[in-house]
Formats: sequence, structure tokens, C-alpha cells
Amino acid sequence: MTTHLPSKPGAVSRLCAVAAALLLVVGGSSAALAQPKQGGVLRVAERFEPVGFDTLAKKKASVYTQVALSFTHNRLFKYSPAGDVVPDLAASVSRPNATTYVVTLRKGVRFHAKPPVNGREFTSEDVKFTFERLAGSPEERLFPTLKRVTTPDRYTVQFELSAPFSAFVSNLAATTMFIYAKDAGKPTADGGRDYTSPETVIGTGPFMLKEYREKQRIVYERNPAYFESGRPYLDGVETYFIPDPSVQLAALRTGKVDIITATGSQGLPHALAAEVRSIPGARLLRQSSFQSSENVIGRLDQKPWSDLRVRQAVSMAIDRPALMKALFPEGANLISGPIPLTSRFFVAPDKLGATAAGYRHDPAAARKLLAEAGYPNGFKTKLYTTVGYGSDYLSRTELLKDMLSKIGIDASIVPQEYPVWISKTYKGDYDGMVHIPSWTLGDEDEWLATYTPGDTRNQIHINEPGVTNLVRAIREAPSDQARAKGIEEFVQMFHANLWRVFLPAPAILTVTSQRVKGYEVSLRGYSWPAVLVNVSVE
Amino acid sequence: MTGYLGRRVLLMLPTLVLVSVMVFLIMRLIPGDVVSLMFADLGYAPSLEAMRARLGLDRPLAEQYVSWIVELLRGNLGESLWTQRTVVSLVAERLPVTLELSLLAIAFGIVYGMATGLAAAVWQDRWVDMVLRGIAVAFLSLPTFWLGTLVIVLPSLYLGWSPSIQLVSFRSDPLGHLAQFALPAVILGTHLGAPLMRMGRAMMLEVLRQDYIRTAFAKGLDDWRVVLVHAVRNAVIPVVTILGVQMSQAIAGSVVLETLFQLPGMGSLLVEAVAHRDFPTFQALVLCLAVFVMLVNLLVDMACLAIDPRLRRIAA
Repeated sequence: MTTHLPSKPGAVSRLCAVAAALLLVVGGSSAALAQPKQGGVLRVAERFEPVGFDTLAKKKASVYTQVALSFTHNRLFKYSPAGDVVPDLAASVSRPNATTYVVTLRKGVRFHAKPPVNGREFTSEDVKFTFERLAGSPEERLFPTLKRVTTPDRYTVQFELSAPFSAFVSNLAATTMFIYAKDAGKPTADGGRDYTSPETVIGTGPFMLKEYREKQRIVYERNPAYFESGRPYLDGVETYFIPDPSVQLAALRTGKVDIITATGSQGLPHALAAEVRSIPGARLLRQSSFQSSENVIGRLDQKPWSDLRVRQAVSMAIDRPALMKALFPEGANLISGPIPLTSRFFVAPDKLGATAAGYRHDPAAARKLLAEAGYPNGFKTKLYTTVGYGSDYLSRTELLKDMLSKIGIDASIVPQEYPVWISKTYKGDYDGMVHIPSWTLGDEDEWLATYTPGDTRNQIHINEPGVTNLVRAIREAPSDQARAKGIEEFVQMFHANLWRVFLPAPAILTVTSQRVKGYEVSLRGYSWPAVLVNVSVE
Repeated sequence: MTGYLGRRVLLMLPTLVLVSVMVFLIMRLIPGDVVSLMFADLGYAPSLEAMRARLGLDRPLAEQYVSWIVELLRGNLGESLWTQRTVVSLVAERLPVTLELSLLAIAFGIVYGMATGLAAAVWQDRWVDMVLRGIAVAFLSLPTFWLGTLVIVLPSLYLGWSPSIQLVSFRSDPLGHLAQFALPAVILGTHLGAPLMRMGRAMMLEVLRQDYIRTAFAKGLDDWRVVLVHAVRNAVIPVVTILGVQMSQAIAGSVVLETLFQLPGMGSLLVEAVAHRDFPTFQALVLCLAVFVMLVNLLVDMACLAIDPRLRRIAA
């Protein structure tokens, strides 16, 4: 099943976006609408365990740490399952001027009743403390213009920026921006607080960490004082770390787990999806990838990639429907960029109008374009790839080479060891073409930044003043409307120029057993546990 | 025997130095800049320079090596960049699991390999021999990860059963604990036992044709007594010798099986260290495993001495 998100923001397209959460019910789903049952324990199969419990440490936080804290902590804002930014610990936000945001907090929210915090009330001081911890953390990049955080009163936080930054509120919902209790961390020699160990996991979230057995499991129990009255329905959640997908599926089939998650875009492999259909009541849930894409690139400051006709020819040489059919039988999007598939600004090729031609599979037209560009017999080039992403990735490079050969591009594959890849090719040091993936947290701003000079992910060496200015204007947009207009302009500009040739993006698969009721896939961030407040088990 | 042991231990020293040099150089000879990779991927330090300083890579190579060895001799294997725990504590936690799995697998492999090898030799070229040899070849050819996956997937499909998804503690449930280790140990054991079976069969056939065996039969001794008492002891020496190699294979085989059967051992720790570019952990683990294999080989040599008096005379 192929799905595309709508091209324009608005009420109708928001509804479409919700529909594009791609819930496909394999087993019976009507029971999901039944009255949720209180009690019961949900058992989850997760690939890997968290590495410490601090998302604001000096080391980049593992996505599994982000998932673990989504059970126990809240952010000021969060993503709704449909991908919208909605209040979490914040009650409201205002923007009195272009560089100031004032966030009013929920009142009466309490931290978990565990020492040393002992269920005290959450206040603006905890928010201030959390933002003070940002200094020196990799997450500092989320707020590049943040100048000062002040607390006019217990329930108000004021953020002052040195320059406008339109992704500010969206980044408050990033799944690293959990609010830490200022007294929960272990004091360190330098006067700071350390939140690495499980004893320090004291948040305001729907579940409390009860037990952590390294390499084995995490057990969470219901937070009886959670601020959403009556939630969560579950008494607890047990997360088991099972790296192998076949073992995960065997555990689900035999009733040992209830959910196989899709953390880190590593949901159930498509090849195993058929087996889910043989499990009575099991549901296969599809979602678009919010954080990764694969594309073919070259250097825009060098021939032949500098010629639009060559880029169009490469794109038209790629038989995307065939790739999708062969590799992703459970569905895929035709292209995966230039902004997240789950963004409301993403435009599917069938909505592109004239520029859609670039995504049509048309080898004859591609050969003609090459001839017009001065390559009537095609050309020889290198196609860099890496063994670091596994054998499936290399297979896709080989398929690309085969497709390029049909329009006369003789691409010799250069497989690189991952250290060489990451230190050279991934930094843009290459000649010829590259089969490359991209990862980001999901906000449009992060994707757009890669099209500006100086960004470490500008592997295509783009240096177009028009694009740079547009990205800057989007970043500094004075209003949501201005930002939306800018992003739409960028997307149109991108498709007309095809600076990168995006490949199909597979649907990410989550599986739930028949016990699970009310589970929705989350389109953004590593915070799927946030939806568990609405989940019950039979 | 004590003198021989002393000489063997002394001989291990240059091997240890060589191994340490190789392990030390491995990460430094990997193509590309591994430190850039670790920094770019995982942000283990605030800057590339800080990353190099943290790993001690800003010093001359010889100084790095000497300092590493000094710390090793003090029992300091370093700190994991990924988990931020000492490698010693990680090894202490994971080694028992791997040792238990490997020893169970080796024990099963010896029993299976020797018993079937002996039976195949006694009933040479009969159907028993054919079947046992066929099975041994099959176990040699089939990868353990494939067998392991089958053993997990098929019972879940047809019997509604799958292995435990967390480590069962021996103290709380001894039988459950052994049951959890039994399946991977049998899978690994059959893989390790297959060459033992083939070697055992060949050696038994050779020994059974010796004059002293023919004499024993001619004297009217019980057939099984001749085989089990007089023949096996002489046939077993080459089999014990290849056990050293098998032990290192058991460690290698445990990498995949530990992951499949949810056993948190050294194998999965090694895989994680590689995946997370955890340079100090990887370096320490490879060294530990190398030392372990050397110790096993020493034990094998001592076992051969204990079994064969001729070797004892030579050693003396």
C-alpha cells in the first residue's frame, strides 16, 4: 500500500494526515473502540536497551533512552500521534515579540513519589534547571539562538532569544527535551547533577520506573498521581530487550509480548510481515518514517551533477515502483524528502504538477536528457556506498547501479568501510555519485539546514544564495504563516531542481497482539510510550 | 610435570606480548579515522581533540602502549565509552554467562562427538555409521544461527512455545535456568561435536587395528571392555587436542546464539562494543578472549599429559 501525505496545510489535509497514520488492521479492530479496561500489564518487545537515563548529558542520547524517558517524563510540548505539536506540561504559549516566548505551565503537576523528590510539585524552576543543563549537551543545537531563561513566577517561564527562531516551540517537543526534577539527580564533583542511573528517573510521566535489569528488561508501574485524571489505564508496562526480529515475533506469537515496536525506524522487517497475518488477532500498523531517507547525490559544484538534466535523468532512471514492490511489500512512499514524510509540508509526487515528471520512470526520456547535457553515450562514474549499513543497503546500491546502467551511466560501486565512509564521504569528500542516507530528528528546520553552506550534512556542496536566504528566512519567520509559506516555496524549489534524488521510503511496521486496545502509532519522535496513557489490555 | 607447566607458562609470555601488540594496533590500523567516526556518530566528547585526549591518542604510540600495559597489569581494563562503566565490571557480569554456555556446549559436544564417533567406528560401514556420519556432516554444514532461529520459530508456530525472553536466575529457578541454556548449548554442542565425531571415529578405527587390541580380543576379553578401556584412552588424545580449537569456536558461536536466546554474555557484549564504536571495551574484550583461548590451550596440553604417560616422559 502506498500512501502520501497531503500537500497543503489546512483542516482537510490535517484529517488526511491523521488518516496517513496508516493504521491497517489485519485482525479485528472494532474492539479498539470499546470502553478501556482499567488494569493489566502491557509487555513490549524493544530491540535495544537505553544507555543511561539522561537525554541532556554530554554524550548524544540513545533513541532507546528517549523512549524509556517517554514513559516516565513529560516535555513542555509533545507530538500528538498525528505529528502535531501540542501542550504537555505547558498550558499555553505566547510570543509577545519575535524573540520572546512565554510558556505558562500546568498547575498541580507532581513528580513521582520517590525520594529525594517525594512527589513535590513541578514548577518553573525545574524548567529553568533543565535548560541550564543544555549547556555543553549535543541538544544545545535545538535552540541555537536561546539567550536567557527566566521564571517570573512558579508557573511561568520566559525564553529570550538573540534572533528569531521559528522552530523554537516545535523543538520544545523534541524527544530529548524532557523536564528533569532539579533535585532528582545525583550531585557531582563539579556541582552539577548526574541523571545517568535508574534511581534518578523521577519525572512527572504516566509511569514510574520500578525495576531495571540490564540487558533484560525494564518494569514500569502506573503513576497514581498522573495529571491526566483516570490515566493511564494500565497497571504497568514491561519492556523486554529482544534484538532479533524473528525472536520478537515468536514471543508475540506465544503470548510473551504484546507489542513489537518500531523505535528508531527499525520496525518489523517487511519480509516477516506475512507471518503476522497467521497470528490470530494480531494487528500490523504502518507508519511513515519521520527521520530517515535514502538518496542518490553528487556534488553540485562539479560536473556532471551540476547539470539539472543529469540529475533529472538519474531520477528518471530509477524504477521506484519496482523497487517498492521488490523490497517493501508492506508499502512505501515513492520518495522520502526533501523534508520529513510526516511533515504537513511534504508533497507527494502525484501532487507536484509539472515537476512530477522528474519522478517518472522513463529511461528513454532519461537518455534524451543525458544526450542534451552532452553525454549521448552516458558516462562513467563512481557510486560510493558503505558496508556499515548492512547487506540490505548494499543490495539497494546494486539495484541502483543496474538501473543507472540502463540509461548509459556506468557506475562502478565503491563500497567503503564505515570509518572511511563517515569521515570522508559522509562529510562530502568524494567524486562521482553517492548512495547516502539522511537522518534528522524530524523538524523541517533540521532538514532545510542541510541545504546551506557550512552545514556538516551539506554533502551536495550546495551554495545558492537564493536557497540560503530562503532557509534563513524560514528559520527567522515572524509567524507560522510566514514559515509555512517559506517551506512550501522551498519544497517547490527543491522538486524543480532535484539537488538530491530521493528514493522510496518503506513503511515502518509495528505489531500488536489482540490483547492491546487503543494503541496508535506515533508519527514523530521517539516518544511512542506517550500514547500508552490511552492503551488498555484485555 | 611442574617443570613442563612452568616452561609452558613462560612460553605464553611472548605470545601474550604479541597478542597485546596486535590488539593495541587493531583500532589504530582500521582504515579511516576511527576517532572521527566515534566523535561524529556518538559524541563521546565535546570535540575531536577532547575525544583523542580521552582515548590517550594524543600521545606517541609507544607511550600509549606502555601506559595501556601498565594499567592492564593493575587490573584496569578501562571504561566503556558507551555505558560509562568499567570494562572489568562488564566482563565480570557477562563472562559467567558465556562460560556456562560454552562449557555446557563443549560438554555436550564431547559426549555427542565421542559417543557417536565410537559407535560409528565399532559399526564401521554399517547403517549406524552411515547415519551418524551423515548427521555429523549436516551439523558441520548448518550455521548455528540458522539452527537457532529454527529452534525458536518452529516450536512457536506448531507448539505455541518459545524460549524465555529474559535470563532465568539459577538461584530462583535452577531447572528453568538449565532449560534456558540447554537449547543453545545443544545447538552449539552439535556443531562442535561433529568434528570430534569424525576425528574420534578415525582414531578409533586406527586404534582398533593395533596389535595390542587384536591381542586383547584374542585373549577373550569382553568386546566392550576392549573398546572402552583399552582403545578409547589411546584414541582420545588427538580428540582432546582439537578441543582447544573447539573452545575458541564455542566462544565465536556463542556471539549469535546469545543474541538469539536472550543470554547477556561476552559475545553480545563484543557485538555491542563494535556497533557502538566502544573502542576501550572492544580492545579489552579481544585481549580477554585471546588470553582465555591461550589458557584453554594450556589446559588441553596438561590434559594430554595426564592421559598419555609417553608425553609425560617426553615432557620430563
